[in-house]
Amino acid sequence: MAVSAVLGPKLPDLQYLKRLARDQLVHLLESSPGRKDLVIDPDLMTPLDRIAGASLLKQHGVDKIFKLDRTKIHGGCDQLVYLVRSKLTTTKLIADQITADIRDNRKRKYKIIMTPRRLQVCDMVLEHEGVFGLVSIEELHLDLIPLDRDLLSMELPQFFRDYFLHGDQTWLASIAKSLVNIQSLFGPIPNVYGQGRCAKMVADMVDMMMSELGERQSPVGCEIGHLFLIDRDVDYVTPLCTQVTYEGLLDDIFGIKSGSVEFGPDVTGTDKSIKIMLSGEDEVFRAIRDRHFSNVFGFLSAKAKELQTSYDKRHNLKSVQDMKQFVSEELSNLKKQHKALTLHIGACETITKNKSRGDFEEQMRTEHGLLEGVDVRECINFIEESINRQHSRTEVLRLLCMLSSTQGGLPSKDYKSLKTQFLQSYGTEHLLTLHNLKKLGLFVEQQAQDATANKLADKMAAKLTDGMASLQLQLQLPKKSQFRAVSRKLNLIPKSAENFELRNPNDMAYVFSGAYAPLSCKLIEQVLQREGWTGVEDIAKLLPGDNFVHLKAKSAKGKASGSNPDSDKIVLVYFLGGCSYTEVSALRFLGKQKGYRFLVATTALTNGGRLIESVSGWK
Amino acid sequence: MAGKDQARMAAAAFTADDEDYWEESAVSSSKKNMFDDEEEGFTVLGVSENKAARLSSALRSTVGADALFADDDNDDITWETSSNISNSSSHGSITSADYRSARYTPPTNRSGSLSTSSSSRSTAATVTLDNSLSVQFNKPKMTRSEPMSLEDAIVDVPAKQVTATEVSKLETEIQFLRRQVQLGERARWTSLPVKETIKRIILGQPYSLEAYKSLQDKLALLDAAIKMHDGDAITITVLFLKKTVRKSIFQQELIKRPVAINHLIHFLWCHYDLDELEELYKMLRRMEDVFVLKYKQALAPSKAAGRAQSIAAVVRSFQHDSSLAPDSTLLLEQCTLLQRQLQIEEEDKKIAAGGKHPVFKDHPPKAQLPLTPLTTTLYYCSFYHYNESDSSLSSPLSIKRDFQMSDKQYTWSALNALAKLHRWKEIEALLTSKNWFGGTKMKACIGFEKVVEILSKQKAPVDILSKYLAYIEDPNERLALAAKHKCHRIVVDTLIQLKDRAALEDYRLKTPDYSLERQYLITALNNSQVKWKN
Repeated sequence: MAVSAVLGPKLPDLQYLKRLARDQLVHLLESSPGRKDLVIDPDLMTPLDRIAGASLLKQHGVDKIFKLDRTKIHGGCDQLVYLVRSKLTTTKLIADQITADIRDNRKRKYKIIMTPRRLQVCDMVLEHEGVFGLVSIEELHLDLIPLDRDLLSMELPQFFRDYFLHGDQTWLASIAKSLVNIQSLFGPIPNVYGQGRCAKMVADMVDMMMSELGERQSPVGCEIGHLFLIDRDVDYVTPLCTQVTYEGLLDDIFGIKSGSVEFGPDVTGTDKSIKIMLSGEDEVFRAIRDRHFSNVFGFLSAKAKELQTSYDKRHNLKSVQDMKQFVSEELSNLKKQHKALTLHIGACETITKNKSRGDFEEQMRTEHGLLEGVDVRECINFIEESINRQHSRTEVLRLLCMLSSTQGGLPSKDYKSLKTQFLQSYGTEHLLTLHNLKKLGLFVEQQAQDATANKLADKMAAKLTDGMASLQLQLQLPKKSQFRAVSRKLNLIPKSAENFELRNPNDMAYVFSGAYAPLSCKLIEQVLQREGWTGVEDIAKLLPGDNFVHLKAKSAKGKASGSNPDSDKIVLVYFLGGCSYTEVSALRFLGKQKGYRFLVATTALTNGGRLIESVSGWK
Repeated sequence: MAGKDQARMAAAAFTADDEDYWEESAVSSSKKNMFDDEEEGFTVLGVSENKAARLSSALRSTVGADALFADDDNDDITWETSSNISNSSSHGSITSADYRSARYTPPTNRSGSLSTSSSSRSTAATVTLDNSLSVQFNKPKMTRSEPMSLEDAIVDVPAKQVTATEVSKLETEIQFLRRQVQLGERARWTSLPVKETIKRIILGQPYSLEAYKSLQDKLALLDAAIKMHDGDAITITVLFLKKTVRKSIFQQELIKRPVAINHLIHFLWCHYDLDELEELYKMLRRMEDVFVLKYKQALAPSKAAGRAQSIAAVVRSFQHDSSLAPDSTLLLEQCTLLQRQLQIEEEDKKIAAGGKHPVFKDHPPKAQLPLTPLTTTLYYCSFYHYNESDSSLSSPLSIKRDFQMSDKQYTWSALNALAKLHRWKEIEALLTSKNWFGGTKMKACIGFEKVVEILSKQKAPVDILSKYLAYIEDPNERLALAAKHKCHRIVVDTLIQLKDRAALEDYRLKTPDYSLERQYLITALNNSQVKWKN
């Protein structure tokens, strides 16, 4: 932690959260004595790795560990513990397995541990299936998992689909509760800003839960000064862009799962795959994670030389004493760095290979064209060509959504033609996916949108109640994307993209090669700077959902004795619906620029591919 | 307070036997903590609060985090308990369950504070308490034994030293509580304010909806759930309304509440109540959603023939809905395609079995044709049936025509297929277009640079590549591609066109020694008719 001190205000130690979750899990396991078999929800596998390894589970009475699926569980123990996300479908699956056991005359004790929260609807399903009396149900409050010193994730990717696509608010309480937990550990957060419908609801729920707890002085004092809640639909464009920071590229190409990444044989140079934890504890990784990719390789080779010199020191060791010191202290550190370096260099090679193949440059040109709004016709032609050539479906959808989101929907002719050709290339079944994207407002037709708006107004006037329900779908659409206008007002596109400084950037837009600064992060910058929305109303007006702000006067009373004097510089940004690694990097950059330290919390880490896949209607 | 004391007493009973076992756990480190708590057990809340705060900061620096959190929690329980009791007695409607939760459950909404690993002791505590409770109160059904965690147990330990006065105090407390529970028992059947019930659902406390009998109450309950934003509560209350009132009333009220509709729809989706979902969509006149739902169901058959049939049925049932006409047309095309794929496949099986068709012989199909997308089908037909007359079902041209595909779509598929088969002559024919006067002209709607790209991937010979390179209009692009594919003559020609003598000189070494290309280059360099720019 010594290093973080160098970087300015000290961050609260997020590892507490991990410890609490682990202890609670142990407690839940121990509370039913004896050996038991554990069945884990596949969705929980990787997140759980961050909390408790298999050995910890075994220490606490777990015999065999199974993955929850449709197959029968043949465990040796007479106790079965399910550890699952609280979802209807999962609950039904468990009920089916118990029913099957009953049919087979197999007697076991069942415990279901639901996380992040026990749901009444799940109880109802168990009741409905006639197994309620046979199970005991517990809660594991596993909400925000620390993935790094400044990064927390609920690891709940389905929240995006459930809330933004279906309008289901079930997870909101868990999000709110994660904030209550944060505040009970690190003190109440005095200043809260928010943008979006979900943000507002979460803030309301946090208030309700806090008042249930009663006004109490936190023994910890206040360690976090600001909270910014932001809905994903405020800015769809940023996560849709191809990432070009090192960590972003790792995520796009290898897929980062709960903070760890698996490098295949092409990276390791051996015939084995290696799984490593990506975190700021790794010195090499910390130095390169936020850099633009063009600025990574140079660093790595300089580092390699430096390492060589350190190794060479061994030739100059004079005494046994020196030798001993070198071996016991420096060598292991050098070896660790050496290993990390080898892997990152390997990863760089794979990334370069991946990106120099095919039409990467053309794709980047297209993305930049869309962001800037220039040569849109050429961009459409490129997308059409990709469709005709049956390039990766997810990639094509990502570009289509980017096109629609940046242009505020597509002209009818283009929409119809791209839609038809898309279905011809990838199968008509994907009409289901396009339907979902339309509902989200990610791939829409311009005229149709205006037409529905008119129809909506007419119907509302004529038949208020009827109209509301039948047009609910349209009501959920975000305000017609005003990307261009917002982009101008927030200066998202740097004026001189040509000689943009990528090595020592002085503009956040470096995260996208100097072509675009993330809307979400720029918005956060503006609001923090003004301590509210005054002065940015005209921008907020163009974004979906409402904005709000709760500021607490900085009275002496508010500052508890244990309060961190730096708390005013610590900002927790909570992305509702996911955030990308690029956004995390952009916020780290903003922090360095303005003297803040950002803590990023999110329902899940996302990128263009995952965002699109999560709302796919057909596999 | 009372609850805490009782828990303490109960826990005292088995502290002794468990003590040794748990010695190694967090207990020893928390001892200091317990003593402090004991001292303050009966003092005013504010005081213990302050002390706790002081202690916690002290502990934080000395004993570490576990103790800190345990302490934090003691403190919290105290608050929770007292506030709950005062709260509920003020509006006088407590259920027995209410008490139970106020007393024994750690505050469920502060999950983060649940901690430490000693658990069998606290479980034991739960069991004992449950027994004693059921004797006393008779009412609470212990269907949900809330987890007791170590901090509860920690509070409990010092009760070993409980004095006689304290015991009598506790007995009075018990009497008092018994009366309260009886009161609560009666209040069991009158409803809590709707907001309280919703809060209970959100906080995971026991609740009951059956007391809400009037329609107003039911609606107020639903509206409270919507107002408090919790999806679980909204789903529960909307299902409660659905179950307990007549359908027409339910629909009439539901339609006014879009958020409730969303939750009901999502519930029905997850619960696979698709018939009911369809009915709901129809009631809401959301025909596009009905359409999508029916289409999704129609995709269930995994065999092409069955799927074609079920999709056709969907198309038929929506043929009168003009707003869905564009999507219906797409589905109809899908049906046609599926049927056509089946026919082509059947024919092709015969051809392949015959063993005479050169392409089928050299490249037997790897995957099944049915259920593939149209573009893939076009490629397949270009690959196996390129030269068939366009009256044949499997001719690529007839597919292009029948499905109104664009020239670009056709060119990509055909070119890819022909290049793979190295049929250069046919590629030339594909890219040759006749004009009105019988003359011919090379034309590629996808651009000649793409043609070169595809051909080079299939390892086309240099002279073939050169032919198409020559048609790339932009000289710089042509130069780059020609150099990349080592089509030296094109490079030379282009450099002449660009009048770039210096570059031409440089290129000399890239041509093979004594080759025709080298000679061609040298001739160009010696050409005095070119006006070199350098």
